[in-house]
Amino acid sequence: MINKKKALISVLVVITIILIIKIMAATGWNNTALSPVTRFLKEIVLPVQKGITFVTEEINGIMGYFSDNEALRQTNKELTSKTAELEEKIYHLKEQELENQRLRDLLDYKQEKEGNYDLAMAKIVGRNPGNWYKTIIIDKGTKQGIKPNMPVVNYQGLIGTVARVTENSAEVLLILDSGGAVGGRIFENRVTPGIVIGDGTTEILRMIHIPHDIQVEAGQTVVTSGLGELYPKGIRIGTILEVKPEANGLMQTATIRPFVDFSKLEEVFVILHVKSPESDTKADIMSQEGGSVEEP
Amino acid sequence: MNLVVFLLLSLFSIVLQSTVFVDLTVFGVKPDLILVLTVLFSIFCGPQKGGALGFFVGLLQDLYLGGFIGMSALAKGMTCAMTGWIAKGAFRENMLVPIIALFMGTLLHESVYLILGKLIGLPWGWSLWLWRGIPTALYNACLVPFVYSFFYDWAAQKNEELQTL
Repeated sequence: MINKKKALISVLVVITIILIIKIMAATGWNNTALSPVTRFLKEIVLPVQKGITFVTEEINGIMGYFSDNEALRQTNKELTSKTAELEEKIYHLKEQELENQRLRDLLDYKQEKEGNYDLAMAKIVGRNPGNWYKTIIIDKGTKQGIKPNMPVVNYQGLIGTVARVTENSAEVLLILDSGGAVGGRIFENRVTPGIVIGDGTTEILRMIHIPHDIQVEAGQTVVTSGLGELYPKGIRIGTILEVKPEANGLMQTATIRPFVDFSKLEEVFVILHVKSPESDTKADIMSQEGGSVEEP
Repeated sequence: MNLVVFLLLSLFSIVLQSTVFVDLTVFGVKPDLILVLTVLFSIFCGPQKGGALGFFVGLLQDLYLGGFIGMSALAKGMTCAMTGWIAKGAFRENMLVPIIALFMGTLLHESVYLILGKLIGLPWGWSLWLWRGIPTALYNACLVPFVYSFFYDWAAQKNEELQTL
């Protein structure tokens, strides 16, 4: 009896499974119609589903605010760091660009003056620590042939003269220092009226002892005169800014803005030997170029 | 009455499964809350009641989804009957029992589901079982520590009612 019951149940189970499989197959993707039970269940579940979805979205929105905020903070941090890194790179590139420009100018200058001077390039390694003297320290000394009183220039013009030398360094007295007087000449008219000196405090030079009857005007160029044999003639010094009569009325003084930007000096040339002095007047230059000019 | 409550709970689980749990997807799978509930019930109810419960809840799921009616019913029914039978003499206070039961039960459920799908001609391969079944089994098993203690207390209090379910 029990076996019969079990057998019956087993048969029923098998039949049920087969029926279910049939129903499964019948209600697959091919059958798009929904049963009334399904429609009913979906209808009653829908409001709950909507409510839960709404709440979930709200919560996600609130959580999203914090997670987005965190993500933004992280992004901000990364971008800030990247910006700093890029700024540093830009700074280095600009520095390299400036250095390239300076070296190119120096090279051009050296090539241009090859026939005039033997030049030794030196790098500025220091400046005078005190306030009394306007000097710079360069990284070349007696070992490289540097001697006291040698003129120091760059592509812009005259810088000063070598004051003291060690084996591997030299101290250069700038023309800005009140002790660095230079004999000057007006480039435009070849007049040799006076001495160019610095006041030791500013980056402006003065040309003193110009006779009152000499025509000196703002905008004229001052070059070295070559007198005194310390500096060869024709090295550019600066431009005349203004001319004023001195107190005695017999002389006048001109203020000069030097061509050299002393605040940005990094490399200089020491003139080791003068082969042939530069042309120091417009007339010389014009005659070299085949032209002519009237000298006063 | 208990049956109604349980069916409502199951329906609610289906809703949760289609809403909140979508956001809990990990490695492409989300936990099967209905299976978790039915398997845990079957541990307490035994194979026959567990199996029947699994079958009806699965049927409810099928009816709600509206397609392949009977597939979840059979898969859940068979799974719950099997886990109920295995856990019959087990020490249910031990957390490992529901964890292992759910892990094995999920693998069985996914296997039955796959076989049924293949039987009616769905283009499913065993690789699908590998990539869907095993992660789901792990995920479901991981949920046990979070729900079992509540479930165990509740089930212990309602033991008499569960027996009459």
